[in-house]
Amino acid sequence: MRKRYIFFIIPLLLISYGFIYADEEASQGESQNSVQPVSQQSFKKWLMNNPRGKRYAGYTEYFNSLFESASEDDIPAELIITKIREGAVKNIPPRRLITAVSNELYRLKTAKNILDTEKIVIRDYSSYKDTLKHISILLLGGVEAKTIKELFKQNDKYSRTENDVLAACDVLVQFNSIAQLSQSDLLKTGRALLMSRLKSASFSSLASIYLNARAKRIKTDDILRIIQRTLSRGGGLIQIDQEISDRGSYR
Amino acid sequence: MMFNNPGKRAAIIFTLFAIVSIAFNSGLLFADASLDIGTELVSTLPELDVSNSNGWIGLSWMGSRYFSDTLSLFADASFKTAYTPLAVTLEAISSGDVDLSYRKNPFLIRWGISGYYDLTSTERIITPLWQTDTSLLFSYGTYKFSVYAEPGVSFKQKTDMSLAFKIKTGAAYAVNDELLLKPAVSFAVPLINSNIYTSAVKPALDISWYLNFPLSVENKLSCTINLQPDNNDFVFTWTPEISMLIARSVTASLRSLAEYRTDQNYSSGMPYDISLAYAESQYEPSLELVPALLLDFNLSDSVTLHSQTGLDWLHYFQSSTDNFTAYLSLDIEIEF
Repeated sequence: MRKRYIFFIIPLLLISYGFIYADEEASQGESQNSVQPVSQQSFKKWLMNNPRGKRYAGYTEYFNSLFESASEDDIPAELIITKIREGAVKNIPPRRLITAVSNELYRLKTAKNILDTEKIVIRDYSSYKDTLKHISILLLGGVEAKTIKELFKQNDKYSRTENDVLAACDVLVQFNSIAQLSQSDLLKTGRALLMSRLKSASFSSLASIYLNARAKRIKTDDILRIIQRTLSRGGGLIQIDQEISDRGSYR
Repeated sequence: MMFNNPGKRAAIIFTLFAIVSIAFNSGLLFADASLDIGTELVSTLPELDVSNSNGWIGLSWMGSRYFSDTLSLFADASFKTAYTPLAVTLEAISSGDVDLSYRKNPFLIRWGISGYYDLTSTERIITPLWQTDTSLLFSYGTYKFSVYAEPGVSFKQKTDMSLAFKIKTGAAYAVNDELLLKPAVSFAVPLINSNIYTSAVKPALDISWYLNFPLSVENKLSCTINLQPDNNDFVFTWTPEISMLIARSVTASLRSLAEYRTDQNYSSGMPYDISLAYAESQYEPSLELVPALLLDFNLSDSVTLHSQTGLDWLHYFQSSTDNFTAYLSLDIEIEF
């Protein structure tokens, strides 16, 4: 039933691939290197021949410099190419597109840094690429690198997988979309999600509860405290709903 | 005797309010207070009736304290006075609630007391209303299921004094971590003065659906059945509510209340209340600015437009920790 709504949450699509751990010796670079040149070749053809691509053909050298920069950090060029093509489909002016792509590359590098710092190695190329893209979306959604790193640090403590951490961060992005929160509040809420008995597929229900509580004009601090404390004590939807209903009845 | 004097009663309420405020603001408890000053222009279309427009000043305060993992306290108090020039009405309403909860999983015991005092004068005639409710909640709850019983008493005094015993019992069941089913039954019986409180039973069913993206749907159904020997009338109510995120920082809510009463053979139809709220904030370690815009449409036999915009300024006295946060909040709102 949940899959009916999956098109609303792009990040959830990305996490469905999952992580595969590998030994330190695993050679992820080999698979990336074998794909990147092919992508770049087809991209060059697209720039030269495609009616939309031709608009950006004058920036080929700049795009090449982006690919080189990405390659230095093991960022798949496909992710940059996808961003450029998305911009072309939307008919974004070249200068704006360059800014957007540069920002995307910065986020992807930050995502790679997070994986490296937390010693998360993903052998499968497709999963690696999707994870970088996923973390980039989280960064764009207002969850800072330090918050994501801190949550990755705690997944073992609460017997959670990296996928669970990303699912928790997806909810934090949704919370931020409803009303922007501080990184401290995001971290506390993310930690409570990891501590909770909720399955990661159910994390997103919390965003709807948060929305519902705000519609009842309950203060953000109070909502967050109810969610954090209830989840960390092993409570679930019933207990949060009960507490929020009680608060709502006072207003 | 003392409670028969409106002035003394108001003084007692204010003193209690002040004592609790000092306790909560002494650095031991989480609390916030806000002062609201505003004016409201309510226009009812198509007659363009503005007689309900008023000016008001209000003070609200809320505090909560978690003494330990098991014991917590929540308190809420507000005071609002409003003057409606065209109707020559002066309102002064005070209300407050205190809840003390003891939770030892899977059990929860909560004692609550609430008070409401309305000193409204119309054409300089004051008709004070005083109401107090107290109840004790016993709850057993697991992750997926909970049951509870909540006995209590209600006291009300306007021209006469009245007292009633009430009990509410119910359950909650979570389906798939997104759907909640909450059946309940309430029962009330008057102890003193049956003209205000009547014997009644009220079965109810609340269904809350928290979807996997920011959208919630609530349906509340209830039926109040009068149990007096010569009167078996009933009132049926249905309250649907949908809240959704329609764009970044913009939420929309649609509420309605449909009522059918057999005593007056009356049906309210389906008036709608649509609200749009925008909230954006810039967080700094100790300062938060929250401009908000609220727009209400009430579509029934007439249309009421109500809009509100405000700025919420909060200053954190010290950084948040897991157990303590305190801040001063100043709300400035303009309503028209």
